[in-house]
Amino acid sequence: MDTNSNNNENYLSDWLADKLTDQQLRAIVGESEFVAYERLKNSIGRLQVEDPDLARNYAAIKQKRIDKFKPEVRPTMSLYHYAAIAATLLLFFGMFQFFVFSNHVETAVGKPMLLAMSDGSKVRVNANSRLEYPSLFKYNRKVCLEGEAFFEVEKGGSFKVETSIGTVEVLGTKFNVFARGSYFEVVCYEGRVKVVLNDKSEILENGQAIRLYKGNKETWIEDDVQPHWLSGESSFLHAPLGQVLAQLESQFGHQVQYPKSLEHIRFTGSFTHSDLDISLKTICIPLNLKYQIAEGKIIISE
Amino acid sequence: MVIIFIIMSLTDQKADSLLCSETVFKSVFESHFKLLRNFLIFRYKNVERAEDTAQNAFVILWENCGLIKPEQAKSFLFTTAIRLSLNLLKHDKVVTNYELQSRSNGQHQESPEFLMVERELKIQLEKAINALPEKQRTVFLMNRFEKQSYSEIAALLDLSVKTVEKRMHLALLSLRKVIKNV
Repeated sequence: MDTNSNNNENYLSDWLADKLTDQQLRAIVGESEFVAYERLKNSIGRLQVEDPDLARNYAAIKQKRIDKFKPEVRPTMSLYHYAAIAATLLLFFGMFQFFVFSNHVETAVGKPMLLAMSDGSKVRVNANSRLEYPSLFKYNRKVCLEGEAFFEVEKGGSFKVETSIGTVEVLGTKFNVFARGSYFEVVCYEGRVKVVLNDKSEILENGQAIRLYKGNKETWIEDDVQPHWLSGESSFLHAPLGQVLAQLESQFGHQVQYPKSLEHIRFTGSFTHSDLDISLKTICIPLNLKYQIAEGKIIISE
Repeated sequence: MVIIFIIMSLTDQKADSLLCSETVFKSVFESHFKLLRNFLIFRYKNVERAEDTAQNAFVILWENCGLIKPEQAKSFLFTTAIRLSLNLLKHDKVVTNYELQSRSNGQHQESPEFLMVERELKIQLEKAINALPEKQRTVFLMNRFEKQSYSEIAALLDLSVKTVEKRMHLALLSLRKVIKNV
């Protein structure tokens, strides 16, 4: 017993590990207890747990390995749930912003303006035009236009230009919209835009242009990379004269009077924004018209 | 634990390792699954839950196969399984659903009386073992059923050999107290 005095406290574990002989244990616990322990040890030694089905377990591991790469159904569902709630809130917030905090710019006669939008897009608003846009433009890219503007749209979600006549939805980057009165014109300079007119939509590719005049749709190809008005000129391709003269009014601020019969004559050409006299010449000479300026009014006659 | 999280966070750098080959992984599975699963049975007293946790530990081993050498797999599996079982153990008391079996012993014919007494003792032992505190039962059965030495158990369960010895001693002492008519 003395030899094992330092292991005394765990004598049973020593005995189970054969570090303590039967005799030594007998000396510690006494004969009858030793027999009982011996009996327990043997009985426990005859027991075991059922062996696992290795093939089934291996198959289960393989399956779990595969399943881990699939999205789990429940968390995804609840994620959708949260996304839906978030989207709804954003929608309401967006509408609130749109209706309550809508901003607008109005350009004066002869004073085009460059707008840098919060999403990085640029809008050049031509003279005598009005553009409305929501405060949170970055999240709700939708503007209302009366007049003319050239858009350079940053990549992002949908970008819409609404006018009283039709809607232009951007699928690409640069385009010009003209909407005044019943006249509507869209030129796409880069990428693609979708034009919605009377519930019919049309996609304009690079360089294509469309106009709605007197209820008729006309399309043509525009060769330039940007509208002429950006470089101080108004340019027209087979445009009705009424439109050309309205543009002249916008740029120079003089009222233009002309006989009704001239309104629908088509004009191809351009006029500068810097000199009224030269502009009037470039319009009137090719069409064989006369003009005079009196009391701030421009009077055009055949 | 911390080491495991570090290992797991490095999983992206999956190198070509032996363990990532299906054959090596399968042989690791064949040599360690039974021990790991039985250890978890001792812990949970529930076969399904033990097998589920053991499988999960192997799945995690597979995900980290690029960082672990086959000889490190056993200790990784146990550390992982213990971590996985911590929450399960805390929360609910699972109904015991495992039974002990007698080892087939074809060597000598036992008398019918002996077998009867043995059967009686087996039932008592089963009860007594299940009534042991979880820590004692796990260590005790790892040694008695799975033939793991004290130092092996100490290494696998991250205990000192002294603690293992203490638990062995206490376990046998309790069993003796419960089973009076041996």
